[in-house]
Amino acid sequence: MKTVVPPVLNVENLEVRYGAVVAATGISLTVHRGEVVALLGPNGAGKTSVLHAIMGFVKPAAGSVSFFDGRYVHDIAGLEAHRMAHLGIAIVPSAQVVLPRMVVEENLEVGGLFLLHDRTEVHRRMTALFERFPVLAQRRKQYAATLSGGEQRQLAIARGLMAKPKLMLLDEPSLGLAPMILKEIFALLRRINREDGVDILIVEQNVNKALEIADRAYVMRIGGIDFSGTSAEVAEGERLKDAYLGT
Amino acid sequence: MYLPHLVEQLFIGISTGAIYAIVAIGFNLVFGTMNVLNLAHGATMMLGSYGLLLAYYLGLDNFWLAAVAGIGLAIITGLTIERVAVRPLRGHWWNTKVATLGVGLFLENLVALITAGFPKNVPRPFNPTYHELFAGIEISDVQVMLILISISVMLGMVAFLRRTPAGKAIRVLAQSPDLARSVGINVDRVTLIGFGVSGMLAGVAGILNAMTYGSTYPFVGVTLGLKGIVVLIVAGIGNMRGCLYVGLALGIAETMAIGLGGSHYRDLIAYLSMVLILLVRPHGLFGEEGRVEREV
Ligand SMILES: Nc1ncnc2c1ncn2[C@@H]1O[C@H](COP(=O)(O)OP(=O)(O)OP(=O)(O)O)[C@@H](O)[C@H]1O
Ligand SMILES: [Mg+2]
Repeated sequence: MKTVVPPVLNVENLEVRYGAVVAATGISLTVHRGEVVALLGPNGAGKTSVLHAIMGFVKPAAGSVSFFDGRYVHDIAGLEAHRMAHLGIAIVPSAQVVLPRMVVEENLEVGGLFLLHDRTEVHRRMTALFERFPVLAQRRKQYAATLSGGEQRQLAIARGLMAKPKLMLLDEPSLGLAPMILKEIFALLRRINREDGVDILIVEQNVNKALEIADRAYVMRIGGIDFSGTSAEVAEGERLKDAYLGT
Repeated sequence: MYLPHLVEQLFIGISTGAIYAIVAIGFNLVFGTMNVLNLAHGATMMLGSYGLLLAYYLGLDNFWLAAVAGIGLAIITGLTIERVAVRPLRGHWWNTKVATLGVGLFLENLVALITAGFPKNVPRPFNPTYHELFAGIEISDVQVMLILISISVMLGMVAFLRRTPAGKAIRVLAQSPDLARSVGINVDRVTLIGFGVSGMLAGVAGILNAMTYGSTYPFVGVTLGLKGIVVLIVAGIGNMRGCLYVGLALGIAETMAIGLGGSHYRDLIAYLSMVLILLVRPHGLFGEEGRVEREV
């Protein structure tokens, strides 16, 4: 007998609009337990819009989104973002990733303060994450605005991990990072997935890096999904190039 | 003007300046964080002082309890403004300004109508007695109390914003509404709390002002509110400590101007200094460049 485990994230026929502008339409994608899934595509394809609609930053114009928290399947399309956070979804945005006028320590604390509801648990998580991110521990009293790009990205990821999310949405974590740091961050993401059991949906411009850590990938052209497959399939096919060249 | 008089003026300047600072901090709490210039803030101050009077009128014969009632009325006003004039217009910068201005004018004219517009005497907690500090310099105990209350209110605000979850939520919201949501902050609720706290500050300022002059009137919040906005803009939006320094400086400058030249120089000082400082530093004395563009 086989029990069917629902996908952690199931998006069906999602449409995102800004007034009259349709940023993405007919988007269907899934993230299963244990997976890293990449969402790729050229600039302006609508990747960020899809991520923001899943998180609740923008209300989907159509379609359904469901989230499985390990026990229940929640219909989350149109929920406000803070409710998503309470269900166990974290997001690391591509721009303004940290709270510039708070010190590193407080940036981290804030990631758990409103979700864990127990100060001792917040402090336990902070200690654990500072052990895991020694760079941040060294800079705990420094304002987040003074961190380097790579450090800020790490801080945003650490903040996202504070409340032990089940699903993490990442928007271009490679943005503006030097190759060495980039390697470190991607290794970290893989560990987060394997060791902490956080499922990941990652939007990336750095296709090679993303396909290295992803199990599967979806490739968008302008406004919709072009094709999908395992990372190996996507990496080998000619269609990837076509999607980026718009042919 | 001889020295003792100058020092006495300095004390008066500090206590009025502290009120300006509290007004500015009240503005800043909703402007610097929720991006709403609440033009009913002055009317909320006015209601704080009339709430105190109303409590007396209804038979509560204790200054401090009546003051608490006045502050309570101001808090309720702040909460109501959020629900009626801000939340339905969320994100529409001009509309919230017009709506809060409308609410403010309505409240001021309503009170003017009910009270026939005359200034009303406000009871004092005790009659001021003057103590000689040194060399003929006198200070009244009411003044000392005003200064102490103002200092405690400001320290309390700093502690609230730095230490409590609600205060931290307000600071996160000020930096990024989306990040606030993504860490589980209910933005609607925190906005409401911000307006409540801002209303409380307005109530405190209105009552301290009434204690200073021993009276209040329906349009007391108009000038006081303008001064608060002057202080906020000169200090630089988003900067609490800046509000304190600039508020005190304005209060001192004003009383010195009165002492030296007469009371019609008072407002001239306020508005002229604002123009001059902004010519030199468009983002305010303590403001960060880029912040205004980003948040307005
Ligand atoms: N707030 C907005 N208002 C109006 N249009 C928007 C808004 N945000 C995005 N768009 C439009 O929606 C489309 C998709 O944008 P989106 O940011 O989702 O693309 P993206 O795939 O993330 O691009 P990039 O790789 O450059 O980040 C674009 O045409 C963009 O101009
Ligand atoms: Mg994007």
